[in-house]
Amino acid sequence: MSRVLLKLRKGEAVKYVSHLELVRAFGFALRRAEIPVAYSAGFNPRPRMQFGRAVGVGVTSDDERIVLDLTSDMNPAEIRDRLNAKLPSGLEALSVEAVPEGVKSPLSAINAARFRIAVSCSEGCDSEAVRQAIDRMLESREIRVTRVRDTGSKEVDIRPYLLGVDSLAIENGDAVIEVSLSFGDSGGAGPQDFVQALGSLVANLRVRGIHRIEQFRQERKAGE
Amino acid sequence: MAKPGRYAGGEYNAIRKDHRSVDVKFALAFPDVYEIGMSNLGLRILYHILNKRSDVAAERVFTPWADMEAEMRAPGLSLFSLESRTPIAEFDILGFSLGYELTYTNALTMLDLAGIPLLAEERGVGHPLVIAGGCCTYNPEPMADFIDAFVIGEGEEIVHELVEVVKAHRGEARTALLRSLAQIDGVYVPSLYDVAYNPDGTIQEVKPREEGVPQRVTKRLVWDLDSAEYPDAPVMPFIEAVHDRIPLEVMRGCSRGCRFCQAGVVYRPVRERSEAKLMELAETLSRNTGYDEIALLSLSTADYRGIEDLVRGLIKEYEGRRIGLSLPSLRADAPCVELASEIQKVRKSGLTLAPEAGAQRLRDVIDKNVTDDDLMAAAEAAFRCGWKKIKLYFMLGLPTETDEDVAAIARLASSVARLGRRMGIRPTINVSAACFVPKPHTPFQWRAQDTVEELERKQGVLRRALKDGHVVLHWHDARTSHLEAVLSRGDRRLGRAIVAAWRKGCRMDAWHEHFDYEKWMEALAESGLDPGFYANRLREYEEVLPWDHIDCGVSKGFLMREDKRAETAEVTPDCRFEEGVCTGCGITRMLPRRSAGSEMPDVACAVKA
Repeated sequence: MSRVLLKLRKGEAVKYVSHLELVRAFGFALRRAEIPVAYSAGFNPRPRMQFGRAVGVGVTSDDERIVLDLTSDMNPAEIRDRLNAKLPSGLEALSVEAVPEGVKSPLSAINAARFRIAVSCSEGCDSEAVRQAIDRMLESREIRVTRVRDTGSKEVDIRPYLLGVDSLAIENGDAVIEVSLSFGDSGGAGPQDFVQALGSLVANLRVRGIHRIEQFRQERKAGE
Repeated sequence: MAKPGRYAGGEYNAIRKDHRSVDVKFALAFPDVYEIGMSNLGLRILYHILNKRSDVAAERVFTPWADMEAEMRAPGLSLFSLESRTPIAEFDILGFSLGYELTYTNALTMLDLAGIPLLAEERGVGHPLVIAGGCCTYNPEPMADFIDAFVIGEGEEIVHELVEVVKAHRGEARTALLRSLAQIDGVYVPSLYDVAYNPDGTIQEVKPREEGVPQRVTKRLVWDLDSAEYPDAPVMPFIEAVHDRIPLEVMRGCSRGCRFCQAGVVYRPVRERSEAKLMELAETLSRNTGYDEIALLSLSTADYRGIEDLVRGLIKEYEGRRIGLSLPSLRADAPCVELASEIQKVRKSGLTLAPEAGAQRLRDVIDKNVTDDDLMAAAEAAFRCGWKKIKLYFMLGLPTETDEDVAAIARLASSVARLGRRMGIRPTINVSAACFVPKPHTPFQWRAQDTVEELERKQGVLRRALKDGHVVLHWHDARTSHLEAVLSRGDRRLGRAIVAAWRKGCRMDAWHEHFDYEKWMEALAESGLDPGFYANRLREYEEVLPWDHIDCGVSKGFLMREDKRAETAEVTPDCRFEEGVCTGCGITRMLPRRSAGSEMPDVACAVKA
């Protein structure tokens, strides 16, 4: 039994595919590609695959992570190529690497991600206005956003999870922001939270696109 | 919006072509939501056949759910195809698959959202040719106002002829195109026929308006399933479809002869795919899909001649590859249940058996050749093989049914539950009681449907008779079945009621949360039509039926004889399983003529001309 970590691209063509649908589609592709994936024991055996934190519907990603258990060794590059021949367009295996024995799930260590968020303002984005809004967010001790769920709405403070804004550029009148956000067992922030907070500071803000660039491990700072 | 994946396209195996490289753009339309339409085998077959042609691009389109329809209407978005997101009005052909009468208003929604005039007579050169196929077209009349041409029967071959005619008449007047289409065997162009009515509202005559248009249109069928095209790389939906499995059609047609069953008549004769071909298809399909289940499809799969060998062969090949089998249609006897048990190692769901009627006399009336002993043996086998949940499917309102017959349903269900308890298990017996709908081209096509009040009264009789704690009753809405009877047995005049109902907001009538019976009844009344005339009236054998000019291959004389035998509860043997018996259904006259050097197709029909 061996284990591999796979990074998958979820492109524009499949951004409305939900996480559950992505899991299904990936499962069918694994079978078409004849990857020797292991199955769970029991009454109703399922392929042994673990998905990392999923992006929301409408969000593209260059870093969806999947851990696969294999019954026999297969060269990682071959797994990648076989899958890419059988995945629906919009999904692409970017890399496959072997997980050394003894390593715990490579998914559990991940606690942060970097996003590229494109927003437009009503009359074209003034980089200065967006810059000031971001600076205000970074300077404040608390950023409150409201999350609406089927079960009701809840106000949360996302400031602890806003790790930083890495860049801001203006492209064709849209502001393109790269932002790092963290998440963990006790809470976290998603790109929609960030957009909501920004929207309370910049008038008529509209989201043009959200993309997850990468996921990573953010070491805890002392005192946290 | 619910399930955006319904409108996204881009699925694995979907085919997208450059429209500049093709001559004909063909929109395959299914008038229901995506996940229902994507499970339809006919649609998949046509998608495959058309896209194999280099000169055709075939693309799919389904009915938007109410939320999407509203989203589209607000900004004035036009209905588009899933593959290239091209407005449907820009296609050359728009072909509807009509498989259920309660989807008729959805077809109107799709025409309207596409910006295509609803009425065929209002369409011209710039509009797509609007055609329809599917089992509803065996009575095309209710939809005659909206459809330019109906395709009667199986589509594998005729679809090529249609494409050629459309190519040849590009840019010409619609009337010339329609005249040429009417020359194709199996095509019915309703605008080329006049219907005259008697003072009592029945039909006097349906006759062609001009020379050269056939009096009757005979269905098309494919003789050799082994050489027929079959979709070997079906589109894989992202969203969960009704059936996530490999559809393997093992045969077409059924010779059992249940007298209420339209499919059992119109899909005659029985034709089987060879085991070798099925093994080959299973292999290609499993490689191209990644599905982990193969469903052996047909009207009555256990009647496939080599079923045991086929099942054994498939299990041997696929068990190790974690691909299971399923048998969706099961005959209610012990050997069948044992076969199903061998196939389905995991008892995922309950087992469904369809006695259709509770009393032996009534089962003889409908020619359902299953006895109480067969059923009890089937139930015994099911419990023995590990099933705890059995679904028993019945119909209420069958011809000659009495309250005693209704009570017999309860007795039969309780005996099955008791049997389970005696065998030491706590069974769940789900009794599903549908309402009988007399259908065109069946021996019961002349029969009256019970009124809604009568059907609801019988539901009450059944409910009161069921006292067993392990039996759960589910019944179908009698009003839905009533409308189904009206729409399936109606004539051309119904077209105006369908538009009126649609204008009142009737949508997705097959979905109970959308079905609005009152609006339908208003629409019928405002159109001057009495639903009882269509649904609840016993018709004379001499009456010209609205679908008499559509020939399904089985003769009216046979249907009449069968209806008379029903009256005296006389059963008719199955010609495939009783030596030397020909019931004279008439289908043999469709057998292709023997020509020098060619072999007769291997048709599972007792009489081989």
